[in-house]
Amino acid sequence: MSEAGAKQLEPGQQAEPWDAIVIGGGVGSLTAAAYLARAKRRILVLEARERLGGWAEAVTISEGVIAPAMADTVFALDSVVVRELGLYSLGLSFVERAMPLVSLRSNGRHLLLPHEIFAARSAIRTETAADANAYLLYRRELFGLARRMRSLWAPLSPFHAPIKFSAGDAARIDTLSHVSASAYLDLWFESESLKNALALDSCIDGLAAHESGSALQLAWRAAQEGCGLQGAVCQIAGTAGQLSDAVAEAARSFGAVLKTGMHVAEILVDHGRASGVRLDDGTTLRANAVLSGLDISTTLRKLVRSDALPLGIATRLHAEAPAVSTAKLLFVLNAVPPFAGLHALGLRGRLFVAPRAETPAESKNAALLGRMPNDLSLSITVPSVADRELASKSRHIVSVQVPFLPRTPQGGWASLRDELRKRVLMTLETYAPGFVDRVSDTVVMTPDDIYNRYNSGDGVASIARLLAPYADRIRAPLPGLFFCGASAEPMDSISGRAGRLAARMVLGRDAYEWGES
Amino acid sequence: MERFDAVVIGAGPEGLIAAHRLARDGLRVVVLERAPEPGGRAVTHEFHPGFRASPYADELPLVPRRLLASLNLAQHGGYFMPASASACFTSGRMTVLYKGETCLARASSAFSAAGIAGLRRESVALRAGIAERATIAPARASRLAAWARPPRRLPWPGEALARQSLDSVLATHIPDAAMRAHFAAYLCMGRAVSPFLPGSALHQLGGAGSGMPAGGMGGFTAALALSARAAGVHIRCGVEVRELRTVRNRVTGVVLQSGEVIDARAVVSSLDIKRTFAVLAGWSRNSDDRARRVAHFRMGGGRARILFALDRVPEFVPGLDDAVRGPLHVAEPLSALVEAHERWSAGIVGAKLPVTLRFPSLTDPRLAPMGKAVMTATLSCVPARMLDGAWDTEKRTRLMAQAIAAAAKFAPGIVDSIVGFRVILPSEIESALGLTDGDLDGGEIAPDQCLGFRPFAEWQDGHTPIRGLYLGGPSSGASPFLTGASGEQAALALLADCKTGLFL
Ligand SMILES: Cc1cc2nc3c(=O)[nH]c(=O)nc-3n(C[C@H](O)[C@H](O)[C@H](O)COP(=O)(O)OP(=O)(O)OC[C@H]3O[C@@H](n4cnc5c(N)ncnc54)[C@H](O)[C@@H]3O)c2cc1C
Ligand SMILES: Cc1cc2nc3c(=O)[nH]c(=O)nc-3n(C[C@H](O)[C@H](O)[C@H](O)COP(=O)(O)OP(=O)(O)OC[C@H]3O[C@@H](n4cnc5c(N)ncnc54)[C@H](O)[C@@H]3O)c2cc1C
Repeated sequence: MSEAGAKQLEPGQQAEPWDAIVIGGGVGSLTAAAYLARAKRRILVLEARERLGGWAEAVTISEGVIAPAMADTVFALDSVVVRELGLYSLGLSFVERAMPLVSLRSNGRHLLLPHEIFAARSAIRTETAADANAYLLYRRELFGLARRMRSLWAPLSPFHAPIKFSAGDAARIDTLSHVSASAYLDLWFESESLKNALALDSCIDGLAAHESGSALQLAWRAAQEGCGLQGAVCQIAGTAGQLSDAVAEAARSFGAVLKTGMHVAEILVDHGRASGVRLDDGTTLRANAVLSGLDISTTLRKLVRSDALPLGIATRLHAEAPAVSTAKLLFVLNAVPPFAGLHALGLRGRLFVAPRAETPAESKNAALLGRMPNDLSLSITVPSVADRELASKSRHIVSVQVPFLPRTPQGGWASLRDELRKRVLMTLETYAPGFVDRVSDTVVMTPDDIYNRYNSGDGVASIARLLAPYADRIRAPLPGLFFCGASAEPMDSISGRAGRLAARMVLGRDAYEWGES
Repeated sequence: MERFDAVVIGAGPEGLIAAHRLARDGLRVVVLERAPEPGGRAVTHEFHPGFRASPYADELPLVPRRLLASLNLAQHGGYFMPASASACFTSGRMTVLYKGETCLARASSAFSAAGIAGLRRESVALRAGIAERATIAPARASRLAAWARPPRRLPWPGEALARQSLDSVLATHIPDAAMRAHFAAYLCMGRAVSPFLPGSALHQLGGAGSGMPAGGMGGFTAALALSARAAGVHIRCGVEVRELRTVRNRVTGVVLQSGEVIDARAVVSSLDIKRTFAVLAGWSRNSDDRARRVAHFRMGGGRARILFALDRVPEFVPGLDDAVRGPLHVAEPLSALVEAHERWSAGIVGAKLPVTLRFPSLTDPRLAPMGKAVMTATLSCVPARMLDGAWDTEKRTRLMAQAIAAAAKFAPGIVDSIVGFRVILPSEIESALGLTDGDLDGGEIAPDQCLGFRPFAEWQDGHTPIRGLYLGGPSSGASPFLTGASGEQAALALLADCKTGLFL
């Protein structure tokens, strides 16, 4: 893991402001820092924890077992960032470039959907012939639209004229942003497991598949590329921690100063402009620009004095505070997880559990009311199957994401942690009989644990956020302050795109340094 | 055999208004109605000797003022008597909401009053905008298949609501939780709504009623029918349309249940989209793209009604004031609606349904014998398709008990005055009016099924993929929140196509 930056802060240096201070050491922050440093700016990154990486970190669970703390897959990584920062030469590599999607069924007849279109068609044909052909058309329609929407979702520069879509595309986008993903998929397919897999893959965070507009998330996912493959889900060798290490290394090599153990307490505002930060030990650091990798609500509500913000923002932020959140569980098994009827290829995939088609909708409703849902939907990966380095001997790691949980349940999470663990295990046991007996270690991270660990939460998904140009999400409602983390992306994800574009905005429209590397 | 320029299916408000509009422009129009009298949902029936009430709804959605004037309704005896207040019981607390802003300010905290007034002004402006947009002369149908090319969509006011939730709209305007529940009950009466879903804010457009027509709802359609006949419309009652006749995707007429064929160059259907296309046009036998889309159009029927005959005018709790003439709601806080909606979609009748009571005879004493009264109860979130089998006596009794318990909150002792009643379930609304799932709205209110997306983005302003067939009922664009607008819009679309010679 990376240590603090090599250069030390000298007291005398404080007189001269930094060109930019970046708060947080997640992938977004590190990317922004790397690009700014590459343009010969003096950059300081302040990370509160003792290590960099934020949500994209690797944790050691027990002797010889390394697991992804939060993100176990990447699907939105910006290939431009990978190329420009030379991440491959800094240690980034993939063990799985296109994970299949697997919709688990309790009867063992799972649907395994490979990414490759014709393989997917044959897989679907075993379910229903009509869906197999519909899938080809679906892919062509959605991926075609998604490609044309990359000018919005994967722009090379944040400064562009408003994007004009053809009348046909404008109508398509209009429709997708009003239809729920399940209603949209209903139009194409009959097979419930196929619809489940596609809906859960795109709507496990953000809008749930029954909410209007969630169909647009299908297009967003199709517009991303995991590692050059459109719409693919990938697994990074050595977990996403490897990615943040590589980006940190890039930032360092360009001369950025990365400091850990530095908790920012306040963003200083002078004459209506962000002018630096104050640490929790009282030190103040001046800068010409401040970038935040934390989510919008934490940055503006916790770090900025409310009278420095335009009127009405505070109330709006309050109304938008997320009520629904995600938990993460890690299990160490002393053998291969016994998913009935799933062979090795399936175990390399992203597995989804939704006992019934309505489960996500019901869970989300329960979560909104502050209750634990009756049935859980799960997204599962077994990263140690593709990446044997993660767990020594015959051990395996099962990484489980539990979406649609209440952010603040009645009674609080402390008393529910054990119930959550039992419920997840029970669910897993129905799909993988004998699972419980093989578990040797368990890590449970409730939404509270996650927030307390990283001091930064997830953003609120909305169509407005999905369709806004990057510049609108990056620019904070306070001059001199920019967002560079996942909250500046159309949807929460590991991408680096917002970091790159935020750096570009800080440098300004005419920065000539941009092109050099 | 007589030949007509246009056949209108259904003599409900939309059908009659469409026919009136066509006849005014000189077309020879016949309206075909299955029931023995015109009116559709807007009828008044005697449900117990001497007691009359409107079985399906007490009010129509707002009728655009311009439309009222053009129909000469007042001259034919059709006028409305809007209520001036409503009341609501939420968690043991009663709130009264006045229409007038002065009364409103007197009765509620200054904070709530300003917010509610603001919200109302916003909705009024939006509805006015929608009424106007609905009568912009529709573009004529392109000769290309309407399917192939998405037309340019004229925006509708209120589209921004498609991204918001009802909860967030209410929360930003109304600080008091009981008032919010009251307002939501008023907006969502008779429907199943999950107020945290994006797009549920669209319900803000509903709510405003026309007021009770004199003589009950039947009074309104009686006037409409007179006005239509005066304009030269033929109304044939007691004939049911069985199917649409088409030749090469072009309408040539309709076939009646009796086998009689009525030729026409154009047909306006005021039935919902599923009835019109899946049943009458026979698309349920097809599996092409457009048939699939019609099959997936979601219906939202969730209303049951109970009509009560009371042998005396009830004694109300103090503080109700003028609200006795308006809707009286019993509603849980907003969050409980989520659960009610979930049960509804699962096909289960909840234990605490939102209930709205009306006493129509207090507004129009002719509806009940002297000294007696009529009460109607509208129960929301009653599923049309039940998970656990059909309705039996026990379930009906439980439904009754919920309505009576609600009534006792406003008028304790009302139980003893009940001398007769009639329960109307969603399935009965379906069979009586020919509305799929008994959904009076002609489709669930959701962002992908409202305004510019109703019924689909490609079928705008009453046009359909079948040439010469126009959709003017509740499933069509302008409809959900206004009465008559979609009928008029379908008529205007037909007239626009006439001018371009599409029918020659
Ligand atoms: C369970 C789970 C699974 C996920 N799975 C995936 C996935 O499979 N694929 C994917 O693409 N995305 C996934 N995500 C989302 C993704 O991990 C995040 O959106 C992304 O990593 C966020 O990166 P970031 O750069 O915005 O900031 P973060 O990684 O959130 O970094 C913020 C950093 O700021 C630091 N910080 C906080 N407060 C302060 C302060 N006051 N001063 C200084 N520093 C501070 C924190 O310690 C943290 O290191 C998942 C999220 C969760 C919760
Ligand atoms: C937010 C919202 C609020 C609303 N509020 C209300 C409300 O409070 N009250 C209310 O009543 N409506 C309400 N509506 C619905 C609205 O009234 C309708 O859009 C419209 O007024 C329906 O009128 P209609 O004439 O099309 O239908 P109907 O009155 O149902 O007329 C249809 C007629 O067709 C006849 N018919 C059926 N099948 C055949 C056949 N095969 N052959 C011949 N005839 C046939 C039927 O007998 C019936 O007479 C609301 C809608 C929304 C979305």
